Amino acid sequence: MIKGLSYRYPSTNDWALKDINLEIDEGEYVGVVGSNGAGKTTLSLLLNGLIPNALGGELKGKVTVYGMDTSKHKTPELAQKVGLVFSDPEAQLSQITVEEEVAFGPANLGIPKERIFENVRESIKVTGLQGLERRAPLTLSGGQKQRVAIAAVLAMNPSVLVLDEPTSNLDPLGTCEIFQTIKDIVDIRGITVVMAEHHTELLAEYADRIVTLDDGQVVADGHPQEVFGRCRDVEKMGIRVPQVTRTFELLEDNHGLCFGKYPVTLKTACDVLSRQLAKTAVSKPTTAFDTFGQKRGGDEAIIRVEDLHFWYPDNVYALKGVSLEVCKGEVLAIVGQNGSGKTTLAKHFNGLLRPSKGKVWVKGIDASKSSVGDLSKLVGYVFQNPNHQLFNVTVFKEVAFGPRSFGLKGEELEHRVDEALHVFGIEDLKEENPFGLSLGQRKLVAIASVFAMHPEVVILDEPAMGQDYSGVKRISQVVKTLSENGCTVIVITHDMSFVAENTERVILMRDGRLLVEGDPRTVFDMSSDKMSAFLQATNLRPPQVTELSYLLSSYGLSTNVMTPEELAEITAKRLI
Amino acid sequence: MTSEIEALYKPGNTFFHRLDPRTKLGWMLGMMIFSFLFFDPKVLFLVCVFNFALLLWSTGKYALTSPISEAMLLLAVPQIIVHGCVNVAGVTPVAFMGSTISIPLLGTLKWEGVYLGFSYAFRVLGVGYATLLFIATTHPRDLVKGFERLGLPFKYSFMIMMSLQLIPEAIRETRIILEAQQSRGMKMRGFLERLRALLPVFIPITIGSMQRVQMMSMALDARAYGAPVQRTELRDFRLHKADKIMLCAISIMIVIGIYLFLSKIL
Repeated sequence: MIKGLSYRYPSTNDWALKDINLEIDEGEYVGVVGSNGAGKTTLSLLLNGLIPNALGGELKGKVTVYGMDTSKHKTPELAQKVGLVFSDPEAQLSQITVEEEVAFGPANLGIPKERIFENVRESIKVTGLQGLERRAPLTLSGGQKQRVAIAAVLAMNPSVLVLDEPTSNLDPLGTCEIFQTIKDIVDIRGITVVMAEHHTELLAEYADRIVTLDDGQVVADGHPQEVFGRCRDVEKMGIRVPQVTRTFELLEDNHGLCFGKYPVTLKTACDVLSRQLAKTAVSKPTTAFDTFGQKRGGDEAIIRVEDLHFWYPDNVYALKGVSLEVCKGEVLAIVGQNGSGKTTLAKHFNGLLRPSKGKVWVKGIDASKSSVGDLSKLVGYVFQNPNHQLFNVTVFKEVAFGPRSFGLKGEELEHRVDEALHVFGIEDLKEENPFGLSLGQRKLVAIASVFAMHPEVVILDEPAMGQDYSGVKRISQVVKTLSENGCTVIVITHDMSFVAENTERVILMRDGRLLVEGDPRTVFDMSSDKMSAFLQATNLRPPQVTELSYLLSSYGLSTNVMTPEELAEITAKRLI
Repeated sequence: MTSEIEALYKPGNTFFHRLDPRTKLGWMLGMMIFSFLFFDPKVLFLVCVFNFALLLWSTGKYALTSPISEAMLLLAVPQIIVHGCVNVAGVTPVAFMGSTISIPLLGTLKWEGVYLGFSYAFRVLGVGYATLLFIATTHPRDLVKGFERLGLPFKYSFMIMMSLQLIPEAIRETRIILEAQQSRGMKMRGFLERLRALLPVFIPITIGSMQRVQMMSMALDARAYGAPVQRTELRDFRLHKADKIMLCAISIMIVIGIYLFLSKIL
């Protein structure tokens, strides 16, 4: 399909893709992985001819889809062969109802009306959207919107479906929906799927083949087991390997235990380890990990929430009586699906929202009686998308914006900014333009600009969203740095392994209520009926290793494992 | 969350909600023409009450609470007083308990003027309620579709639809950006502070919407928008029975109106 291909965007010097050779067979499900900027999106746009037809640039080599040279055919023509779904569900939707949205593509192609209706019905069915035909697409949930976008390209009857990070804007529930939908489409239609994704654990489970991109080049290409099995190489490219695979790598590296090829799915990992564990006699269960081992925070409350209720002006009842204490110096995670009230709750901490009922105290101050400006000295809020925050021409000015608004000037201001840049290791970006930086760097600038105000509490809203593996690792480091600098850190996130590895306490929210709070070991422990009921109610899955340890609990492994390192350690103890 | 642009629309499934936008547009225009054919406050009162009743039936208490309704009342009531005092047709002073009523700057209230004032007031209200009936029961996007059916080319109606979608998006983005900058200590109290807040808000919005438009245009390309073939029209262009009845009714009203109007002049 793709032969000797190189491509660079207009007015750039670097090649975005370098000498790519790739042949994809009919009916294959190919996962494309790579760090941000490795060329995943470029590859997706090449497959349906948007590159070079719409975006221009310089192209060497050839892309052929079913014998059609994409540079010689117009995009509408190619759209009937290759359907393309983007990561932002909203930007893809333009019609009044779901039905019309799905019919939009085939109508543009001038397909007869009766056949369009048939296609629409069928696409809606395969994406599980029955019953929503008359709804306005923009009123649906994230996962549903993205399914509408998928149905909309399916209705054009493409032979290949290309998805560019379709789940990167979705919550865990939406992500599961999309993977399940793609699986159904593959099962029912036998369509070819090319999917760029960061969720390697899910790709390992569903895809037939994995292609890794690094700096515009294909580095590895093969069965998920072959590709992810080479953990070290894959991690070097900034790609996260499934946690179970990482566990097996650690077992070999640190404990000299090798059981053949590394498994890449939960099920195979469980099979392999059960076989091994069954050979050893169960003497006594391994000791559970100490649940208070990681606690850094003190007992003094810095934020106190008392029976907080909140209605949005359009009468949406978003918080239904939340009571909570955030201790000084702790690292707290707030988790739950979209719409569960996480962000609404956090926005009360710096006064962006005022309680409809109940009280919020920040360091003894009634938050409803002081302004956002005053509270922002105490509580810094880093928004999800750094683009909503950055506007200055240099990183220095950007970081100086906050302290300057408090009246800081001259040397004192400069010192404050330098300190913040130093803490996050971005001194060398001081004179750069924030808009020229990568997403990961922009995020760091946004965090530094909040940190420069020296708040006592820092709220990070979805810090890992849209970030690749190295980006997520950087955010982990940021959380540590903030905590070491005496900040109380509140992280709102969908990434459970991030929670397990970086936070001391987690709050599970659902439907405007606080379901449960506790340290991650307690909350993610599926052997507790109570906790697994809570997790089920919120549709959240604990980290993959935690699930694995639970599946292996009949062999006496403790069930509150949080990281691959821990699982490798206790398994090795049992096996050696 | 509803956006400002959709704030006038009241979702529902009443008789008027189900009518074709073209019919509702016809009804509104018909009511306007009819109202301007008459000067008799009794007729205009009937038109006003009739449209208000329809509005009440279709949107409930929104007929009273809508900002448009309030604005119309503010516009209509002074007509009675202003015309009552100032209109040149006024001759006979209004007597109340034996004395005339005078208003500073405007003069004495006169019967003929009050009579005309009522005509103007009811005309404003009648036309206003008919317009609100159209707007409040038609989703903005259906409204555009309605114009499309009246001959507006698809390309233009599509452009309007996209902006209708972009406006609420832009409003939502603006709110987020405002909150993000306030969280960094940006203050918005006095005029000067608001002026200073322009750049931190304006730049992220502009850059964001540029990225968004590029993304949208790619997504549209991928759905064969602008393919060099005749687009399939999926919508039914035929009017339903209720639409036909309503259009007939309004036509008959206008014909009668014109007949009465002409017979008065000739």
